[in-house]
Amino acid sequence: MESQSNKNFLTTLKKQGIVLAMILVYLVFFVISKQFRTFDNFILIFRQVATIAVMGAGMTYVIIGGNFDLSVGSLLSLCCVICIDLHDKIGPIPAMIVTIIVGMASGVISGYLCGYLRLNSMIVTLGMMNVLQAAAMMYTNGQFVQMADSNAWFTKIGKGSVGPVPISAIIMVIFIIIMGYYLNRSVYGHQVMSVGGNDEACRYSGINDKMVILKTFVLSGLSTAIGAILLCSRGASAQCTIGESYEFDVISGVILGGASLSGGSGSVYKTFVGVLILGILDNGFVIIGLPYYLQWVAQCIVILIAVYIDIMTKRKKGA
Amino acid sequence: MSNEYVLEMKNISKTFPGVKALDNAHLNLKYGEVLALCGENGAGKSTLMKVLSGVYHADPGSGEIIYQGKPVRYNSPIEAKNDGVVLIFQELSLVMDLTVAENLYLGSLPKKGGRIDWKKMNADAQKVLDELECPAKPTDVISSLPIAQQQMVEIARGIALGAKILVLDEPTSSLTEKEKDSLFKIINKLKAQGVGMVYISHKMDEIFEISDRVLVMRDGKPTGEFVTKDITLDDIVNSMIGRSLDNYYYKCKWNPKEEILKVENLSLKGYFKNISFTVHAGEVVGFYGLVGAGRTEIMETIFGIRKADSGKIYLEGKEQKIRNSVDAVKAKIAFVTENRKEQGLVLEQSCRDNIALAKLPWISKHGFVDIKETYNIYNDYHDKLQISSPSSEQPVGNLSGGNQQKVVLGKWMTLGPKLLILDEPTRGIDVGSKSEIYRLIADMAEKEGMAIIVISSEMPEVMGISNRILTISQGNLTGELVGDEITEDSLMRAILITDSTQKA
Repeated sequence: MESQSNKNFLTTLKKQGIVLAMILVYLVFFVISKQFRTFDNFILIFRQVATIAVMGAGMTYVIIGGNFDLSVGSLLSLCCVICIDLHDKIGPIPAMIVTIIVGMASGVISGYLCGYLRLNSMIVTLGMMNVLQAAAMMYTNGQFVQMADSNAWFTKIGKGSVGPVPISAIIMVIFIIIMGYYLNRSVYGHQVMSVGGNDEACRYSGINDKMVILKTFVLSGLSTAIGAILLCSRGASAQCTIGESYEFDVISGVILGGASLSGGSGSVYKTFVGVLILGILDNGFVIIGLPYYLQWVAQCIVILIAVYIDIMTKRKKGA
Repeated sequence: MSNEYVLEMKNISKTFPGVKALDNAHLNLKYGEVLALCGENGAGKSTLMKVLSGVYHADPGSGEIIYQGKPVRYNSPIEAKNDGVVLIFQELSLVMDLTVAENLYLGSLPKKGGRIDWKKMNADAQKVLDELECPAKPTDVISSLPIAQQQMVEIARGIALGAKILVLDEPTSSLTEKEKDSLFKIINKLKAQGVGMVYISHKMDEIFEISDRVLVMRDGKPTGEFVTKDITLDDIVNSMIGRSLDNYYYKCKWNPKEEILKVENLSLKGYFKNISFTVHAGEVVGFYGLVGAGRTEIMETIFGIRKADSGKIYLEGKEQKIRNSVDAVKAKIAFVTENRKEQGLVLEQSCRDNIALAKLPWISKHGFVDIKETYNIYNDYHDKLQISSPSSEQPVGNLSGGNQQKVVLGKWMTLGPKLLILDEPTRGIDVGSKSEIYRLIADMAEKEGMAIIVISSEMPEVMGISNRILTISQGNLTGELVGDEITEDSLMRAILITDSTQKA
């Protein structure tokens, strides 16, 4: 009995290791820095990670399905400039709707190429990344886009708060709960896991594996569009390269969250924790004054450790 | 006395945490003989061979391995290989992107002046290949060769190293009949050269064809040692499962009811032509033919994985347009594929997830799965099919072949199919589980009234369980046999006649 409960404790510890890691990272900075310790800073972290966390929820589906979506950074740029530009032209609500349609349409294209034509997702989305960046440049002529009224209600999405809680953080949490619940409990979520684990077996079991894959990219596009709304509403302006290198942070978060790189398993909630860890590191490093370039190195080390742990636990299972 | 044996293993015990995998096992192998090693999965065959090759070591204080008169103890399979003890597993260990000759001499490439002596290497390789009458050329890249020839190359590599003992683990599992024959030719040749061989297989007909002696294991212990020509199948089966299997095969009572499937003039270029047949509720129809005759392709077409060039498919009298497997499942067709691991299961996922996989859309509300129901389904089929798994959450990849197959069967049974197609349902499954699967098939036809098609290339199996047999040869339906017409002779003829007439 004793050993049984011990074992249970150990497995939970292992399962929730990522949460412990987050608490640990937080505590380290908490002890080191007085500035980090403030309540305002705690809230700031959430505001900072909102866009990446929302995008990570969609990316989790793509990676569980056994693919990657490298185009999300460029798509974020495109969505931001479209949303800001259209805000004054057609009004905030239609602008947001168009933004979301653009995001999902981009997902349909990537998803069709990867799911139905079975092209390698790295290549497809690398191409899409360039195409979408080009589209953002063409849309803006490389100009900075700005809303006329930088205090319009639309900007409250990014800047506003309910009491001390940022609205963007509330949207983020709601979105993640929905996406997480959908992954864990819906028929579609189960199918994503199965197709990521073995697409051929699914094809022979009456599951439309191509459509399942296509939808993962659509969800990634949707998440990116919502992330874009959170991001651009904060500044009431956007530049056509605003989303540059976001794909790296998003994918890093998913990997830190323990999703299998070969597909088949992963969790939206854990991705969120992974994104939070990166956010805390980011925030903490800035506060303690670590040079910008060293932050990248530190981030890289954290990710390598996470991937190494991922491989080691898999090897143990294999033996 | 000890000169007669190339290998003697005595009192080998091996304990893993919680399991005694080998319990005082022994094995003797003479020069120039083929010793068949049989036993159900988990009986300890592979463990014994791994102890021989140094993957595992026997428990301290137990066991002795005497090879060519001297005690040995290898630390790794490579060490064993260099000493002439060569193991060939189902998964070949060749470098796919290198040539045959490079693979043969990997690790000991002949050199001249610091550079590889390609000429000598290819010439040497050709000699070894000629000896085995292997049609592959030394310069062929491995990945371009058919599996059978890859296997020959692997054997050739053993020969090139001067093997005295060759262990073959299920060597014919992916070979066609013809390829099997050439493998057996090689085995006989090596036998004449004095190589001792251990032949691990589930296929009884092969054991009787090729082996001189049989060693049967159960629960890590040898339970029978026979001279092959003095015994019958029953002797082996009895010592394998420790009881006699009165009814090894189960045949359902033939009581065909309404027509479920009718296929009319189905053709697909390069695979099969003008296939017409019917299957009724409550009967088991066997599809017998050689590997590559087009049997699997016909079934994949009915299941919507392939598209026919022409022909019609009717279910319960209505013509069906089945475009993909989603349509097939909706039409209540189930398909147990030949490759369980690739096409049947998501190996990392749990038994529960796998059993519920196809059923998910039907146990959901507004797109959300009723999780409780998945547990109910698992428990249901766990009892019904007697799946032995420690828990519902066990990854299905950890189960034995027989239990994996039951999970696949369970997955389809949850849908209550009208037509169940099974492609080589007992491949790579131990004798005990095979018998259980036969019983399940008979039950499904008799009690649940399913129409069942079983594809098989094992004659005793197809004869033992089918009410009716259709024979396929080179893409043509060549015969239909019912009841007393089903004999070995008539089945063989149905295949052979067509072969010769087509050649003529």
